[in-house]
Amino acid sequence: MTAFICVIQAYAQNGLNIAPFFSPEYTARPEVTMLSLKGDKLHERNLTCYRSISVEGNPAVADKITAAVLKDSADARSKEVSYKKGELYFGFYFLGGSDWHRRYILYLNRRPAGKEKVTLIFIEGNVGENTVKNMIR
Amino acid sequence: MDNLMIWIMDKSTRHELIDRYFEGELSLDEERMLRSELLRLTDPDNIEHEALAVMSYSLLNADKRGREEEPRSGKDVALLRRHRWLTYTAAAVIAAAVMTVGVTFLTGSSVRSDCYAYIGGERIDDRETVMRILDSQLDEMKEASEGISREIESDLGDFRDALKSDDIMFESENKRI
Repeated sequence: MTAFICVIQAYAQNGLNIAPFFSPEYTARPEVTMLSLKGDKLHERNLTCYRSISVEGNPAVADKITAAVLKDSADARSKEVSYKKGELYFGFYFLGGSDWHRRYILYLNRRPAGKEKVTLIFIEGNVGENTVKNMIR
Repeated sequence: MDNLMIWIMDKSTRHELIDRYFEGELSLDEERMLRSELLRLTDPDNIEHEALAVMSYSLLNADKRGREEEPRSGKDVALLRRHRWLTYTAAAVIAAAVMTVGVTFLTGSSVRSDCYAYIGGERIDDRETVMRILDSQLDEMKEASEGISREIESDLGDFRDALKSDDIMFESENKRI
């Protein structure tokens, strides 16, 4: 088995439980949509990293994502969450960091609304909470 | 973890790997990874540009010697570096042409963008498509967030209505209001 060097940009998803969901193990799946952005397009918005994964029709993977989000958000500096029918429905988490290394997780689970789909977004950059919230308001 | 994935490589890491390359300390796999990373850059600095030129030159020479896409090893490059002026001259003369050829040799396709998506296992590099998906994801989050705001407002409205009710009795140190 060939070994590749894994070089992770400092502070990105490093050390987070959600990191594995952006790997080929999941991006190759037919029910997964994954986005990865960096560079000028993000820099215009004061961001350094945008990664997202949506899983539709696979509750097992969706539950894994949810569990990872709950672990990573346990020590979040601030959070806004909503539960429906006993399940985590929506989550906005500021994980901490400063300057260009502020990290956020956005989470949406449509299962309580009758649709088997989970979306996880990871954002890092020099943006405050209100700026990130304005992206979704 | 044996199989790891290349994520984002920042400039300091690239330069560190370049230094190790010229010292002959990288394995062939590491050299390939570094070469792919350098080819991906849209605006390499002078150090990165030099490293890519030398790597591409080494690869081209390897092909001329009839070997299968096996570049000169880092240890050989370390010897070359001791005669740095020769390296610079060779790289400067053929750098532009070699980089054009090198892209075709090494990637076999167009240079990959720094914005991409995987949909159903298929990689999408079209920036407009990627941004469209990003916007739709944020719209979904927005819709959920607005729904929650409406629910909160509805709950607060219930409380407001209850407080307005004449049936409410407040107990305080001042007794009944």
